Amino acid sequence: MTLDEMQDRLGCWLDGSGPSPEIVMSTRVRLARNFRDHRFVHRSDEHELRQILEEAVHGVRESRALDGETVIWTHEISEADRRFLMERHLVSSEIVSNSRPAAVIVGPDECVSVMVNEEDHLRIQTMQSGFQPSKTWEMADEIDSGLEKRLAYAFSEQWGYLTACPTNTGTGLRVSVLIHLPGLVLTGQIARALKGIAQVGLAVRGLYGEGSEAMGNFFQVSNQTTLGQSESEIIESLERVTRQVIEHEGRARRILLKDAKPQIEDKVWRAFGLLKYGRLMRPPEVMNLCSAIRLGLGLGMLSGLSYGLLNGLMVLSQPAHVERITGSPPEEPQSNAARAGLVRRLLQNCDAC
Amino acid sequence: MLCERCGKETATVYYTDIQEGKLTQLHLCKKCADELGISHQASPGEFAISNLLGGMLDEADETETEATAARCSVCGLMYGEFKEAGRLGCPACYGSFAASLKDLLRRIHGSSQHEGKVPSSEVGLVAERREVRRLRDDLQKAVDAEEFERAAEIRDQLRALQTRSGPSEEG
Repeated sequence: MTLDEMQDRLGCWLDGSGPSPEIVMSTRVRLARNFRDHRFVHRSDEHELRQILEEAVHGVRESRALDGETVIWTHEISEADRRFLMERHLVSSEIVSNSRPAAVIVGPDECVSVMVNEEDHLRIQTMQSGFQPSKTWEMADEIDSGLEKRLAYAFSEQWGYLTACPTNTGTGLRVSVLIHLPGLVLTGQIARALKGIAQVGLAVRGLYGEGSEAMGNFFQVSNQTTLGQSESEIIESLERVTRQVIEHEGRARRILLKDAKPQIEDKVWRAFGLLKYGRLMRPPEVMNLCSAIRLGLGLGMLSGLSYGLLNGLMVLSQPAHVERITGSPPEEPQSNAARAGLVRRLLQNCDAC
Repeated sequence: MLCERCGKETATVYYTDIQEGKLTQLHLCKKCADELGISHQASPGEFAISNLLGGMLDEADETETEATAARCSVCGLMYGEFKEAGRLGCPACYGSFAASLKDLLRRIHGSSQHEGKVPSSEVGLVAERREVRRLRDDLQKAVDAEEFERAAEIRDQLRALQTRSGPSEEG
């Protein structure tokens, strides 16, 4: 699979299936692993990084863990293309800004991937649509178990899987859910909800992970600690807390429907009109309009379009995707015109009512 | 673990060396270490890579903090550099800076003991030691609660487990 082939489709984790799709967009699990006999990435020289790459790719291929994989050497592609991969959540910002030898090995439907030479030698990632922490963890666990037979991991009985940064040591596990909370935002409860989440030891981040902004009322909730608890305990506690957040969000939406139905309905339909007919669109605007339509879909205010379509719009309208798909220059206003055109095309056959 | 050189005495010295990119790790008894000229104090002026980690975790004073000038014997990273960058140099750094990291990990995670997945190659051993740790905790709790009958039961379970698995490393 080439990047050109990739741009015409979307990862299966965006298809809008899975439990609670109206609130949870996706679930992600990543496992940090390192090789016993190599220095950590930031201390390795070019030669060692290449060795790590070779061993990792060989291990993944031999294990058949990804079931037909594509290897993308991120140091051999342009920064715009690395950004394209980041918009698909396949690489992190660390890889985008770096041209040292690194790779991402991607499974056929983009739901499983392995990043090589990011902060750790390996970052195994699995993603699923909707709220599915246990299943997503099981997928990652299986890939990891396949790889450990071929690759000698750095592991200590006391401290578990050893990672470059001690904040990941232990299970090396980060499980996160991407949740959409317009109800809590509009009813003014979001600050309290986020504070509550932080108080039980979970982290809240923006759409693209660490340091990124919360856009379109999307938040990423993930575990903070990785040592001292088993993987299933970590997964269960995130599940428990997320379930409560889902409940609160549902309640807030019902309040909105009861107290402010005409205003919300107006907001939702205006958003649809702008997306369908607008001529210049900046990325945050698309995100915010999609957020409003998503809320309307959840409240049953419009039909004829799906969560899968909205999820797709949010990824495809990102800068590197627009540039790649439409061939427009990255500068405004051309990119904004190209984005609006792309969005209109994607909504062409959508007869919302 | 027995000394890898004489195979008779218990290894108390964990020696790591790297030369021309090749890593050597040795578990030695005190006598063999002395004979090889590897002492607890790396002599000044000697190559930093022959820095040695005398004393294992058990001996390390928990409150002891590595000086920022402490250096990983494998990759050469200084503890001070780690404190600045927040990233360790190599897997062996965890051993090199064990005492300080133990405190740090406890501060970050509220624990310094892994309870999660174990690579299949090490599963059997680790499971047994986890069981021993769990029973010891239970024993302590029973003693604290003055439930002596229960404590005696747990003690017997512990003994049975330790007899089966041979002498415990933890003593």
